[in-house]
Parts: sequence; C-alpha cells; structure tokens
Amino acid sequence: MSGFMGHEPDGKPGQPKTVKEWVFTLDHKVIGVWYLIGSIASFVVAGLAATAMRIELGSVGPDITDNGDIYNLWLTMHGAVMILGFQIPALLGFVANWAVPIMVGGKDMAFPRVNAMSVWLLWSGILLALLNLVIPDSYNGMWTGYPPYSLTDAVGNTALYSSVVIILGMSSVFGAVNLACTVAFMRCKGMGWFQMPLTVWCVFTANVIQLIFVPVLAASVLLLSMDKYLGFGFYNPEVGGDVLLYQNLFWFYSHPAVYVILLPFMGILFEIFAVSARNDVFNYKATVWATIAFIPVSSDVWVHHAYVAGLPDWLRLLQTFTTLLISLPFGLLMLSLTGTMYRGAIRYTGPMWWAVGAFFMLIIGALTGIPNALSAIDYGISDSYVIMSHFHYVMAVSGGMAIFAGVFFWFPKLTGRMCNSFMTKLTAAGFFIGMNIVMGPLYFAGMEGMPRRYMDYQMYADNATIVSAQHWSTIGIYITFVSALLMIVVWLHGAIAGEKATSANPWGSQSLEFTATAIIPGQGNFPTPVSVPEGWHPYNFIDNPKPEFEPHPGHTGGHH
Amino acid sequence: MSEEIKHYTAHWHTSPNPLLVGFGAGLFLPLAFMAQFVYQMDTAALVILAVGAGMTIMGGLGWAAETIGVIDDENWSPSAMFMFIGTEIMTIGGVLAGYWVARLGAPVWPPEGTPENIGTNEAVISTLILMVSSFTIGIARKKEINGDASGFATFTLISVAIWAVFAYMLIGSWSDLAAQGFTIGVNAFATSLYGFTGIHMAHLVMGVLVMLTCIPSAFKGRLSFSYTRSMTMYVHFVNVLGFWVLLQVYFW
Repeated sequence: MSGFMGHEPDGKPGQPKTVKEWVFTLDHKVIGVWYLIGSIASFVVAGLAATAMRIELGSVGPDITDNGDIYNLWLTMHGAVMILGFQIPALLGFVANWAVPIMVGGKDMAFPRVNAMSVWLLWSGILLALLNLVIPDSYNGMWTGYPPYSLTDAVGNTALYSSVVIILGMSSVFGAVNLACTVAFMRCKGMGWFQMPLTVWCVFTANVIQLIFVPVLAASVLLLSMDKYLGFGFYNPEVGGDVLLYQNLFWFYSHPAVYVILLPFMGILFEIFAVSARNDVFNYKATVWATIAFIPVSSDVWVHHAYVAGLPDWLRLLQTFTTLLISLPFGLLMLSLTGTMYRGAIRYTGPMWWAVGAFFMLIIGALTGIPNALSAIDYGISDSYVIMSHFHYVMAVSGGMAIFAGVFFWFPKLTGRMCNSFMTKLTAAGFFIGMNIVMGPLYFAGMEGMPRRYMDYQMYADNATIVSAQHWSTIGIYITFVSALLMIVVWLHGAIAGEKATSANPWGSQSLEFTATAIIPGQGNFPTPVSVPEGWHPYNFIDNPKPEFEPHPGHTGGHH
Repeated sequence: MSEEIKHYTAHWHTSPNPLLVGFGAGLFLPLAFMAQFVYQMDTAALVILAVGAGMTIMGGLGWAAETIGVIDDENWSPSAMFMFIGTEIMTIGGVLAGYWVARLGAPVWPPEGTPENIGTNEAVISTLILMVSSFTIGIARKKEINGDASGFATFTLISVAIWAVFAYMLIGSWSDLAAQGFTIGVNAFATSLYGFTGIHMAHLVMGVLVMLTCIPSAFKGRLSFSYTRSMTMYVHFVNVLGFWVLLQVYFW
C-alpha cells in the first residue's frame, strides 16, 4: 500500500488477553465491543418480547396469556429496549466507538476514561431495564411514559423508567461530547472535513442531535419522577401543571431520535454500498450537507406526534410543512445511495445482502411516511397499525438490518476471522422475508382500523383482512426468529471457528480501518501517527479501482 | 514471545475508575432512590446509597489522581466542557418550558397559596454573594497560570466557601417557606421555585466536588491549564445559572 505513513503492522495487533484488560479497558475498540455485546443482548430481550406479542396476536382470543399486564410488559420492554438498548447503543456506541476513531486515523477517542464510563453507564441502564422483568410492580407504561397514566400506581415503577432513560441519556451525552471532540481534533494529518468517510459524518451529525435533544428528554422524565414521588406538579393540572407539556418535551427529543438512528445506519449503508459497488459515493459533498441539514430541520417536526391532541389548525399546517421538509435531505441521501450503486461493479457479499435488504425496507418505510405527514390523513390512521408498520420499516427493521450489515462488514477486523458467506446471505434473506411478512400485511390491517398496542381484536373477529393479516404476521415472526437465531449462531461460529482472515482488507475498502491497520488492530490502532496523502478520498474507487483490494478466497461472493 | 510482544501485550491501557463511577452513579444511585421513594425501605436505601456514593467517590478520586496534570489532553477539555454546558442549558431549557407553560397559562400569578414573603431579599443577597466566586475563581486560575499552587488552592477554597454560604442561605430560605406551609406540591409556583433552586443546588454540589478534586493535584504541582480552564468555565456557568434562577423565579 502506498501513500500512507505508519502502515507497518500495528505494533503487536490482536485483542486483549486478560480479564482485567477487557473489564477495565480504556481502548475504544474494546469499549465498542462492550457496546456491541450490550446492544445484541438487548436485541435478544426485545426480540423475545416481540415474538411473544406476535404469537399472542396470531389468532383472536388468548393464545399464550390472558393477562393484560404481562402483555403490556412485553410491549414496554420491546419498544424501550429495542430503541434505547439496541439501536442507539449499537450505532452511537459500537459504530461510533469501534469504527470512527480508526476511520479518522486517531489513536483512540479524545477522552478514553469518559468513554469507558459511558459504556458502563449503558450497562447500568440495561441492568436497570432488566430489573423490570423481576420486580413485583413492573413498569408497563410503554417507552413513551405519558402522564397522567405514568403518574398513577397502575403503571408500576415509574422511577425505574425515568432512571433508565436518564442513565442511558447520560451515557449518550458523554459519548456524544467525546465523539465530537474525537472527530474535531483527532483526525489524522491530511484528512480534511470533506475527506471523512460518510459513516463518520453521519455518526457525528447524529451525536450533535443527541447533544441538543437528549437533555430535554432527560428533563422531561426527571420531572415525571419528581411529580410522582416528590410531590411536584409539573404535569398535574390540579396545581397548574400541564399533561401535554410532557408529550411536547418527550417528542422534542424522540422524533429527532429517529434521525439519531437513521443517519448512522445510512452511514453504514454508504460504506458497504461504495465498497461493494466499487463506486464513488454519488454527490459526496451534497450528501454531507444533507446530513448536516438534519440538525436544524429535525428540530421542528415533533408536533406531528400530537396531531390528534387538539392543536390549532395553523399549527397542524405548519407541522405538515416542516415534516415534509425533512424529505428533502432524506431524499438526497437516498438519491446518493442509489447513485452509488448505479453502474457499479456490484459484488453481492454477505454484508451487501444485509445492506440491500435494509435499503429496500427503508424505501417502503419512507414512502409510507409521506402520507402520514399530512395531518388530514393522519387523523384517520393515528395510533393504528399503519403507523406501527411505517416506523418499523423506516427505522426499526431497516436500522436493525443495517446494524447487522455493519457487524458482518467489520467482523473480520473484530475477530480476525470470516463468517460463513452462504449462511450470512441465508440469514439476510430469511430476516428480510420474515420481517416483510410480519410488517407488510399490518399496513392493510391498519387501514381497516386495527389499533396498535391492543392485546386482542375480538371486535374485529369478523374482519377477514385483519384476522388474515394477524395470522400471516405471526407466521412471519417465526421466520424472523429463526433467521435472527441463526445469525447469532453464524457470528459465534465465525468468531470461534470461522476461517481465519488472510487479509486486513477482505472487502477491498479504501477506509483507514481496513487499509492502515493489521487484521485485528491493537492498542493505539497505528504504530506511528498515520497520515493521508493530498487528494486522498475514502471512496476514490473510479480513479483508483483496485487500491487495496485483496480478495479473500471464498468470501467476497458475487463477481465484478 | 519476544520482548517486543511482551511490551505490547502489557501495554493495554486499563483503569478501574470509570467502571466504579459508571456503576456507582448509574446503577446504585437510582436503586437507592427507588428503595427510598418507591419501596420505602429506609435501611436498604441507605446501604445502597452508601455503596453507590462510595464507588462514585472512590472512582472519581482515582480518576483525578490518574489524569489531572498527568494525561495531556492537548487542551480538548475546554471544548468538551463547552459542549457539556450546552447540554446543561438544554436540560434546564426543558424544565424552563414546564415553568413557562404553567406561568403563562395561569390566570393569577403567583397562584393561591403563595406566601406574601417568599424570601426575595435573601435570594438577592445570596446571589450577589454567589457572584463573587466568579472573581475568586478567576484569580485562582491566574495564580495557577503563574505557577502559584498555594495561591490557586487558597482562592479555589475561598470560592468553595462562598458557595457554601450561598447553599446555607438557600437551605434556610427553603426551611422558612416550608414552615409557612409552602411545600413542594402546594401550587405550580412552589413546584417551580423548589425545582429550579434545587437543580441549581445540585450543580453547586457537583461544582464543589470538581473544585475540591483539584486541590491535592495543585499541591503536587500537577495541574493542567486545560483542566483549570474547564473548571473555571463550569463555575461561571453555575453562577450565571444562579442569576437566571433569581430573575425567573423571584422577579417574573
């Protein structure tokens, strides 16, 4: 490899060897692995809750429980843990920690100790969330925690909910400050802002959104516990408080949270698409500006979550406009992803299968989001399965598939081994087909009026569309469950007994984590400070089609 | 195994302190709150609180010993502090939104049940005293820049003492109001007053810990420009916050 300094194998590369080195680590890659383990554990818990709910909904009447509290517990655990425990930590924890510092040529994060504290705060939040499964007064107020219900005794332990959100929020804020400093100050010599990989840009922008909006969420749930346990009255109308205030504060963060998830996972897609298509990212600079545009535009869309809460017409109209406005930067990103594949020499590797699946889900979710933005239409479908299917397509499933694509993509750098290519593709296909069978039919059930969050649908027992959609959706979850289980087995097999990677750059990337490190980067990532030559770009595949491409036998899949 | 490899494998950077702080503050403190306020288990709450606080303090002190003046952060700390203060402003902004909704939506303000004298004069005096600490901490930083460790420590301790006086006066004000039956949940104004002054008090406690932490390092001659600048920024922020609370709660 030419053009780089410090390319000699990274000191003595490899992973830490002792328990102390793992548990008390200050290294960003090991911390990234801790984030990954925590987020995958959360995915398992939240996925089991989803499976249980779906089985319950497979037919009219009780299937595995007739206890509404238990169903509400599954519902709460699924939503809260999937978003706060799986997706955000996987993207802003694992990707931000493991990949970003190396991608910018840094030796570590700017503040390694703060970084380590952040991951243990995350684990504290996960442990607190798991407590909900064993305490007698389990919290069952959904991930939204709306008062007045969350201020009653019936909801269970509101303090647990508030604590989890605040602790995970603290973890996010410290992580975001760290990441922003890392990107701002630790880029290697020669790497300008417009030479950073798009994954870095997307994670950076998502962290800026976190910095601005997470504190408001933390404040809103803090007030919730202060009201319930200390006698304050912020949300209590009897003493002059306002219930709707909570909805506004909550969604002021929680809608931008969609972009906190969306942007990094689109960053992963950019990386995999460009590398797999051997193509420059289409319109790189416009894509960067579109990414940045999410910060201001995402700050004024939250009220669309309250269209049916009795808002004045002018406000609904304004929010319809601002919600549609976000289609512009989002559309630019989608255009760039499509353009990146256009006329590319696409190799359908295992990670690419997962990435293409995520892209398809994203398209369906995005297209079904446009009508939801229109308040007149939203009136008819608010709180129905249409909304639920929309956000599962646009954020949950597409995000999940992109995260898994990223794990498969960086797997050789994490473990020094390769996952079985055929099984990777098989699990991608199974997950994709399964989730489409789960969520696709539910759009139709929603349009028939099926409300979300209900544990049964006796009142629609005569509606063939709803009954059939529920039935097929449950069949879909079985396929998804098996595929997800198999995916974890593929990872474990790959990590323990997978074929050893013979190249530090098995996919032919041009990004520094592949080109300037050993197969498994060690402490410090690079033996000497790395630099990039003038004119370097992480996606310069057209001018420099085979710069570092060292195909790994049997694992590149596809063809040029 | 060659010497080089031995050196490398021994070189993974580790520290138990982030873990102690992370689990101490992130796991045990919320558990203590729940034990006390949700399950009314006083003894258990005390024990869990002691464990959590102990872990957090131990970890914090160890962290300070490992880093202040030892690790060269290349002056990134002030930038990080700047961002952190930005997130603090957003947090307080969220709470302020609650106050503004209540305040602007109320037909009469202050609402019924508010005593005639809410301690405005005392609040003005205590806030003026608080403001003095911005000068003393500024002098402390100048002393540190000039290499005068004992001068730095003295003026930092004076700043801590000023904050302690403020905290004492605030607690006295709370006691007076509570004695008049004006407790937290009486009305929206009570909620706001105790809420904002309480949040400010929490920042004071954090600031005192930050200031005290660097005293031993100062005497060891291990203070860094970057750390003291960040500390000073935080002290100024807490003072501005105090002034803002005064204007919002007592004069609006």
